[in-house]
Amino acid sequence: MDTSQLLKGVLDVAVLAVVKQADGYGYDVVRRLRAAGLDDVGDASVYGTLRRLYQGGNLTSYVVPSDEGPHRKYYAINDAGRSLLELSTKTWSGFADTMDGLLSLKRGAAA
Amino acid sequence: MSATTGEKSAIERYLDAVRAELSDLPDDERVDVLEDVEQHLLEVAAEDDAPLETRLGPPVEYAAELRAAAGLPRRGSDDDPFAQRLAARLSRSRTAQTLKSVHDRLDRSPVAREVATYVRSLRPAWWLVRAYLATVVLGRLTNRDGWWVSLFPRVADSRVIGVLAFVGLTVCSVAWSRRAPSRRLLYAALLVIDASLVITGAGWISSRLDGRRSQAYNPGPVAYASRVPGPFAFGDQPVTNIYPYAADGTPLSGILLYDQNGQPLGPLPAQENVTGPDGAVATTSAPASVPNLYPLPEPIFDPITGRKIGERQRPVIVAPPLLAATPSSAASPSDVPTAEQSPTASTPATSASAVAEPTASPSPSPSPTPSATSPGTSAPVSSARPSTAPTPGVKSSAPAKP
Repeated sequence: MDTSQLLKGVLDVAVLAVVKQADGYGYDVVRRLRAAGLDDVGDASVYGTLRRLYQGGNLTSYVVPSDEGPHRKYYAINDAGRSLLELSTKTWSGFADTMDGLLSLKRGAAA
Repeated sequence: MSATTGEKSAIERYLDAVRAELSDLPDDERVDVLEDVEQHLLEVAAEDDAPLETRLGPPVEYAAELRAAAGLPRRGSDDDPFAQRLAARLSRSRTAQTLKSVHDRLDRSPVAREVATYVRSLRPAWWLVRAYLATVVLGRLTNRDGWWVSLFPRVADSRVIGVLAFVGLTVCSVAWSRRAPSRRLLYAALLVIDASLVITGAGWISSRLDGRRSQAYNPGPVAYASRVPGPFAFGDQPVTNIYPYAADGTPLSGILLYDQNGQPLGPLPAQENVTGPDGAVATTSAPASVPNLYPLPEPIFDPITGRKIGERQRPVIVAPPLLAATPSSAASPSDVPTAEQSPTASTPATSASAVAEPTASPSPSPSPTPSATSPGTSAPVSSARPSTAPTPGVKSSAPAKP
């Protein structure tokens, strides 16, 4: 199955979860998502998602000047983001349970 | 800052390309987005030396991905690189500029906008039609008996499979159209498939209509007999030959026919040498070269050997009794004035033997009459014909009948 298609649906939750762990700038979030195992995540997708969540009021941002390299725009989660993450987590859990049940049921029936 | 000037220019180039892709965004938003992109590019460039395209893909795709993830408005059909390149090339042409001005004018017209909206609203119907046509084509490929079209098309000789295929193809058709064709190949494939479906569908419909028409009008096996062109036609009945008779039922041959303009009535174009200089009639050649000499010779060929085996016989006719009964009216039938009025006055000679001669005998010479070339000294038709009518109401038929 094409995981990039699956990613589209859950990228918001994934990004929120990463930013909730710790504030991060765009490329940092990309790297942490990859480190968590989402290898297929696209750079531009993460940047776009961060931007959308920020504009939707679920993230705040602040700029950190850097002596070395570019200055960085950090994102942090806020209350709205936290409740969105909570809601999304519930949705995901329910969905994942359903899929697990469906797939294990099929496996059981086939066995 | 470890970035060399080469890397910088690579970043700038990439950034410019992305900027071009986002040119439709409002200025402040675009600047904002590009700030993020620039940061991103700097991070990536600082990470390793691989070219940006290798790491991030082409700028076009990067911009499209960014747009999609950021929820930015789609860029119409222009986000397809193939269409974009095509559009760029086309927009430079003169025609395109004219079209653009027309388009702009149409854009201001509420009627045109209504039409455009209407056409766009028909798209779901097209998705259905496309799926249906695809099902029919699939049926054509899998059914044993060729085209099969009905409300429930058959596929693999089964209506159930046909309906299932139709449903499946409908889903595909809709899904295909709703997803933006982001890749050039996909886009081209879509165009090709749409076009071939339309062509196949049109071909099928026309063949279907043809079949229906020939069924309706030509129920017999002689479906195309009427397409053989005769010399001329009365109404829609083609006339392939003319067998003249005198009013008393005497069969005539060697009759020349002309239309109201003095043009010979015949299957071939009139020949120049029919009338020679000073009125001498040059019909010494074979009589078949006179195009309007009736009856036309109709040789019959053996279907196997291809050799001529005879002439077509005169049809059996029944002389109209009224004409034959009144000699006064028989004295002025229409063929007398035509002989005089014929504007070219070209053919007195050929009418010399207007005395009826049954052409029944399958002699090789089609009509023996005009071979006697008497320059202009022929008896007129009216005198050649016996004006004394025989017994009234006699039914004279062609003498020879095989």
